[in-house]
Amino acid sequence: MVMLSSMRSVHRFLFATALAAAALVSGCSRTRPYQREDLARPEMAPDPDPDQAALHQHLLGTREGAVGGFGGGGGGCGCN
Amino acid sequence: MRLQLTLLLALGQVGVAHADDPYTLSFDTLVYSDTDNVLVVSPQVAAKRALDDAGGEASARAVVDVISAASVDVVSQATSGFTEVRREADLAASHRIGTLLPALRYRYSDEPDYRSHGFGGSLSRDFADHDTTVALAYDLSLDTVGLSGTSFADWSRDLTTHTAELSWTQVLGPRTVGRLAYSLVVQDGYLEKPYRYVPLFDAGTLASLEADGMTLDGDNFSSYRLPERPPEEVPDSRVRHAMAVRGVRLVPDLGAVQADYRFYVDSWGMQAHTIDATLRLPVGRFRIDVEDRFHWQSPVDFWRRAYTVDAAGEVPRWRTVDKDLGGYAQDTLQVRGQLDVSSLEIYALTGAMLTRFSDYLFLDWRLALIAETGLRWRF
Repeated sequence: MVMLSSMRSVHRFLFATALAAAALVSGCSRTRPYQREDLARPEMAPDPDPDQAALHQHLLGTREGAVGGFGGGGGGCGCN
Repeated sequence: MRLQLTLLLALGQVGVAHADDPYTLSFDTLVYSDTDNVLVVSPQVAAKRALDDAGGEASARAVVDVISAASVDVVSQATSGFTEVRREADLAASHRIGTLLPALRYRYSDEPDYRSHGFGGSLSRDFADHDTTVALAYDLSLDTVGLSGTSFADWSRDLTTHTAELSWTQVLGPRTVGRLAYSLVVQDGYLEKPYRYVPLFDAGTLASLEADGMTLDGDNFSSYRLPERPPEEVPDSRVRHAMAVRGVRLVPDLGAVQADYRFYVDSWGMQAHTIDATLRLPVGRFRIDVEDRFHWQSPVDFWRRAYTVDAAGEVPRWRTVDKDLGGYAQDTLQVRGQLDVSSLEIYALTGAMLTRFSDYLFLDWRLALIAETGLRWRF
């Protein structure tokens, strides 16, 4: 029963992932070099500071039961 | 050259040093303190050297966690708190080959009762004139769980963790970038915490308490628990899936808005939703980031507020008191200020994290304060 429930959750999860991928594809459009000025601004970076992000993921990774999805992380820790 | 750098920045590699300033030194210190008597101070130092102008670099990072804990789940085990030091070091290297960016990394972490070796590799490739970046990463973590005060030779258990991540970053327009990431984590081995023992209760006693209108909690549980106190026991394997969507959009005359959503599900029956919104406001050389992160997770299937022994005296096979396996809602609000002066970048962050546990015997809520500061020096 528990397994069936988990399988249904995984199927819903895969469906949502496919839907998000389709949405991303549909949003694709070629950006010209002269249009990239705003994209190059530091505040537009999806990962503005990888070192700080690694430290934060480390903090959250030892305090949440749900991990993954944002990259980084790692390091076994038995911390409470 | 300028166009190439612009493209690189657009694809989210702003933190990478370039040929003019190939070296970057970073210092960070994170302090976490909560109402559950946990204090963690984590200083971190990192050094990078750019190997090319397109994202290739060699880097080293070291972080130390000084942990002082007398949290309720430690004290409820009839032990006092503890203080320990955890050390971690990473080495990584990447080098651009045409449109490909392969990378390798190694990590080692060590604490008195835990050792971990991590090996990883990734490969990313740009498509469509750098509008699209697809990355695939794999990490293997080989951990050894020990007991404080006991040598690893006398008692240890193994834990193997495989992590694979596929991400796709897409320029969606002149002011919008999106990213979709999927993570698969497969864990096999000892997933318990060796210091956790689970209090057991008689079902009849709990029914009487309920009939009397009383609630079992962290203050009175020891008066009603049975003498047995078996160790925590959870399944030896766990398969975890996470899907995350990120969007960053520039709002003219204001700044950038970043929104994240993550959905998580695993083979232990836990589901989680995480929503994160960040506003980045540049003002000259100064920038203020305001971030709110909301996280909700359901408990694992075998989670119980109080585990009961049945009429035949059978103890539940799977049992835990790890609050991270229970259900809770958590909100984190953070404000970060950053100043860029020549080749120096200095920042300070302060935040608060409020957690409301839905069905945890020892604790109903927890408030944590987070403070962080750091600098980047490029030369």
